[in-house]
Amino acid sequence: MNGKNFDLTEGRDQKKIQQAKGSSDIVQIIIFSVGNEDYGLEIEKIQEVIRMRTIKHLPHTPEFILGVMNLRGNIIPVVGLREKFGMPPVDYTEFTRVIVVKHKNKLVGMVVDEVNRVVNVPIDKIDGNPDMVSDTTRALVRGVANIDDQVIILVELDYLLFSVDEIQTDMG
Amino acid sequence: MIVSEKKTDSKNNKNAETVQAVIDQNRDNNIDSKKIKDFRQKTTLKKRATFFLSVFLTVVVSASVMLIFYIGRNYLSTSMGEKFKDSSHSYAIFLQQALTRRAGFLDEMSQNQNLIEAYQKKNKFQLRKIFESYLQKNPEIEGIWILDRRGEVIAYNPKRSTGSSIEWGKLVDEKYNKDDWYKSCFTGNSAKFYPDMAGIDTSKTGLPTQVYSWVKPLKFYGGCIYLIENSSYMVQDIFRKREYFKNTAHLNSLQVHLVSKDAFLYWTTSLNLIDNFRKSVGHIPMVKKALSEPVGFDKKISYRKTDYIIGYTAVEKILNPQENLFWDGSILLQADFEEVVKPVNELLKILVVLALLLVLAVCVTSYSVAAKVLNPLIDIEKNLDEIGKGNLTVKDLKVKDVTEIGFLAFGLNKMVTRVHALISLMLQSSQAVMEWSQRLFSGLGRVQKSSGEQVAVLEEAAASVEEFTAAVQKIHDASQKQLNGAETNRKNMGVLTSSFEEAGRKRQVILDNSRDAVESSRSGLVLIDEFGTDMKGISESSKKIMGIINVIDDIADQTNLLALNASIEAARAGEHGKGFSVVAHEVSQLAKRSANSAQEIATLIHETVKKVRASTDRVDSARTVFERITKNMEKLEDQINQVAEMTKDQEKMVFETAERAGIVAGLAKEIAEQANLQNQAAEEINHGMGKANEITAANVAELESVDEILQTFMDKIQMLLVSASQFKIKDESKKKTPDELMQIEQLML
Repeated sequence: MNGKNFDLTEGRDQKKIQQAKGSSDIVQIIIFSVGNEDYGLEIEKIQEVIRMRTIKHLPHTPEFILGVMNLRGNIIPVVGLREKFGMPPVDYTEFTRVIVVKHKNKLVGMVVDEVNRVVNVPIDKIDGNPDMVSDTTRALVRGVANIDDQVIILVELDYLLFSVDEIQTDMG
Repeated sequence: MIVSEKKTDSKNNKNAETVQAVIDQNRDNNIDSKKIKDFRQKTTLKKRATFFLSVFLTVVVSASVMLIFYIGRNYLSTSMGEKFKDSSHSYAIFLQQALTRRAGFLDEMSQNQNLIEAYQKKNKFQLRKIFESYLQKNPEIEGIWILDRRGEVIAYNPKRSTGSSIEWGKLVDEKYNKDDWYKSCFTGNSAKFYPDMAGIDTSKTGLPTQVYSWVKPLKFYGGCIYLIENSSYMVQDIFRKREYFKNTAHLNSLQVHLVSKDAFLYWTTSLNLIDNFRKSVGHIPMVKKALSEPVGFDKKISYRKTDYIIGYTAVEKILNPQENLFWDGSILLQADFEEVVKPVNELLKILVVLALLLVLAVCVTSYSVAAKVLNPLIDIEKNLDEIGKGNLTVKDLKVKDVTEIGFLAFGLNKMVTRVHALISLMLQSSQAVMEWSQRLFSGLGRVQKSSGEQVAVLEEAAASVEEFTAAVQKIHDASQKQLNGAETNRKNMGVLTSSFEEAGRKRQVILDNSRDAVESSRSGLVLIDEFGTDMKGISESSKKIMGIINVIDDIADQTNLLALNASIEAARAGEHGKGFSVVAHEVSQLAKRSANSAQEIATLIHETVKKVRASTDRVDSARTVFERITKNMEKLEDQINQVAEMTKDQEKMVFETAERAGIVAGLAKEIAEQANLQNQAAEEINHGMGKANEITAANVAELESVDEILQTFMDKIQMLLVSASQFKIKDESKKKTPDELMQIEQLML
């Protein structure tokens, strides 16, 4: 919005974001919450947001892979972000949503506690290389956005859906 | 009085005669003295018989026990002896056969050029092969262990059909791989088969380990073993060791063949073998057996008390007939039967001594028991007999032990003293009764006199009754006065009745008021019910509104989701979707706002519903209060009614009382009449007194007949005194006063 340029040399994550956005100054981010925390995801990555549906559990899969669901005739794997983040599981509410993303040309569902809103963030409000505690956290965080004086973590899909690849391959 | 005393004296004599007669008759009916004598003789006989019987029984029992042992011993000796005989006999036969066979074997061997060659070249392998092939061809030669001069097994035939070696073969078959075991015999690697041979230190004995391979089965299973040449030296070393014979006590025979050119070696080996075997088996000495006549060597070997004749057979010259002469012989070692039976004999001796001791003990105990039991019994019987005769002066029995018989004697003593005391008491008391009766008799006369006086007293009583009648007349007068008082009372009751009627009118007014109050409270209740129904209507419609709001909320939510997805689609459309994105944003805002306002309405409705609920509750409580008031009012009405009823009752009661006052006046009249009647009754009593006078006169006549009855009673007492005097009683019991007698009686009780 301010027309400011951001530094291209500030690490790969920032580079990625920049590449995804092109020269645009505004990034649209969907804010969702898991537990008490809010997270963000770029709108381009998302296919759609749906209500919670029946999930068929798959045996011999990690805990965070909740199973598969039927999305208009497509069978897609579903990942529980609560489980992925190592939080205790809770009952689904009327606010529980499934964010369907396209990952490596395959659809994957991610169960979140709530999808709040869509925000337009100026790109210079996003820090692509924050100081993180560990490598794991670093792998998860794609960037940190400052929205209305609130820090929102932009999550990295590659990390979140790393283990889903195998299942997708099996299903394929 | 004097006349009556004389009468009693003559009667006394008569009574004494009749009592004596009765006693004599009883004695005739009882057991006569002859029978008693017989009984005593029998008791003495029984005493002796019991004693002798017990002694006899003990002797019989101990004798039979000894007899059983003697028979057992004989049986043991015969059976064991035959067993020994059998085994030694079969061994002898077997040995002879074996020797004959071996003689043939050695003969054949000496003809065998290959064998000689092999031996000269000390080719062990070849030797072994030759022996083996020979044994295979001649399976009847069994149980042969062929050792060379170093004690190594050259050849053997483990499949023995006779003797205990078959057991060994079985053991090997079951426990070990037979080939392994067989190999170990030649390679000296037998230690794993005989780990417990560690007791013999091979380094000290200088024996090759191979020796143990055959020493071990020999040790455990006995049997037959051949020792050739210098191997005897080594074997001798083993037989010298006590360890080897440590656990051989189970062997009752051991047979060893010795083949040697050295007669002295042969001899010493034999002696060592015999000695160690004897020591190992311990108490059992050797029994030797001449198996065959020695040839070329004539010697008797004596060893301690037992002779051992070792049979020798001429041995063929196997290799160099001119230079080497082999001595061959067999020793059969066997257990001695007498030694086996020895402990049994000793046991028998001990048994005899024990039996004698037992007999002695039984004699002493039975005699003492008989004396203890029978002597006091005889004493008791004697005492009882004396008591039967009526002699109560018998001596007290001595109570020595606290046994059944002791208790019997004690009881008898107690009985005698008691009976003695009773009889003397009876005598004294009947004498006392006699005295008292006589006094009574004399008193009777005085009673007759006093009866006359009683008649006079009765007449006086009649006079006093008349006075009583006069008093009754006075009571009659007083009741007449009471009648007058009752009349005044009735008049006062009339005033009270009129005031009660006034109270009845006031009560009616109160009743009407309370009825009105109940009516008004009931109509209030109906109004409250209507209000409650209205409130319910409000709460139901607000519930419906809440349902509608929920639908609105749901639609808003759905719209929001649609707007979100729309913005996603718009973002994917890139530059073209930008306008659409704005619309989607607006839609989502709209959805949010409608959701919010729906939420606000919902909260408002919630508030309303809460308030309605609260007022409904209040109306409910008001209703319950009203109901309570109505109930109370109704109760009050009831109570007022009851009070009215009760005052009515009271009114009635007052009226009744007034009536009763009249009745009381009537009753007073009746009392006056009753007093009259009493007056009449008093006169009747007066009449009765006259009759009592007549009865007293009859009493005097009755007293005359009592006099006669007393006379007969005194006669009976006289008879009792005479019969009691039949018992002999100690002198100490003299006449006692009635008071003393009472004391004794109390003590007895």
